[in-house]
Amino acid sequence: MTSNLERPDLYVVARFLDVLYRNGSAMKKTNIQMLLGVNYPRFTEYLEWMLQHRLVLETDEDKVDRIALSPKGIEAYHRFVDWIKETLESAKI
Amino acid sequence: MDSSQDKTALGQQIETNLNSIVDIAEKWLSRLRRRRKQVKLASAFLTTLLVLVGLAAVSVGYIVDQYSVSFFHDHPILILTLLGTIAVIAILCGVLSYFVQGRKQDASLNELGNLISQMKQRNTGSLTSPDVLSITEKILTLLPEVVRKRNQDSFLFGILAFVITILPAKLPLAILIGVLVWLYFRYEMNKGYDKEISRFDEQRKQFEQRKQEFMETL
Repeated sequence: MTSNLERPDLYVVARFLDVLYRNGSAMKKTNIQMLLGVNYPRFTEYLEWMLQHRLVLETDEDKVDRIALSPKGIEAYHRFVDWIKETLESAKI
Repeated sequence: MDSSQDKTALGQQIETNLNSIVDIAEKWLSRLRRRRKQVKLASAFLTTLLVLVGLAAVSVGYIVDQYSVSFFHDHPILILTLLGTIAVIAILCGVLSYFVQGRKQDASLNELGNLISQMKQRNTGSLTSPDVLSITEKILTLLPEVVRKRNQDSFLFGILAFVITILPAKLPLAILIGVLVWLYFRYEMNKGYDKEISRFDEQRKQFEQRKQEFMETL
């Protein structure tokens, strides 16, 4: 699967990671899409991008396609929060 | 420690970090508000001074030109009333400038304040990383807006130079010196302002660059 996204929006990626991280377990695609607040074609593009970068995994629980955060996704989420904290702490007036 | 304990510990760490980001943002907000207040007070004070010196110079010049220097000695009550009126006008101008100037920046600061208080009111655990990212972006955007433009300072120096020079010299020379002093300080102050602004722009650029770099590492 290849993604058409050239420059993904960091906010959407962060929200994607956030939703999955907070849920703790694999989620249905429609639920993720609703929580992200983007339309389905846009969601599919982001999902493809996330899969391509191995930030999320597709699982097949109870014969339903679900999406879960991969170890790389968890690590990326941690790095992201640390980075924001560091940026705000190092800003100077 | 097993994997579920690991996850809980990591989750707590994330929550702690997200909450501490909001706390840092709150500190930033109070620093920005303090700075904004200082800038407004300084500008209001300078406006008062500018109007005071300007009106006093025009009045003194008019009296000396139309009457004589002895007019001040002969009409002390009139002079005191005139100076009092000028002082009241100058103070009113200063107060007006305090409330009128920078309303756009005040609105942006209030917006940031509302955003932070909304996040603080939420239940623990509902703070998201895009929320804190947007706060960080807002703070970095607001930083250049609290830098004081020093146009009034240079104008005041120009007027002061004019007033000092007009006493011993003629009007054209006083105007020339006043304009030269004004232009010189305007140049110097604009240079300082640009330097400060470019420092904040650099910070903002670094942030954008690091955002880009972060996306590339994913």
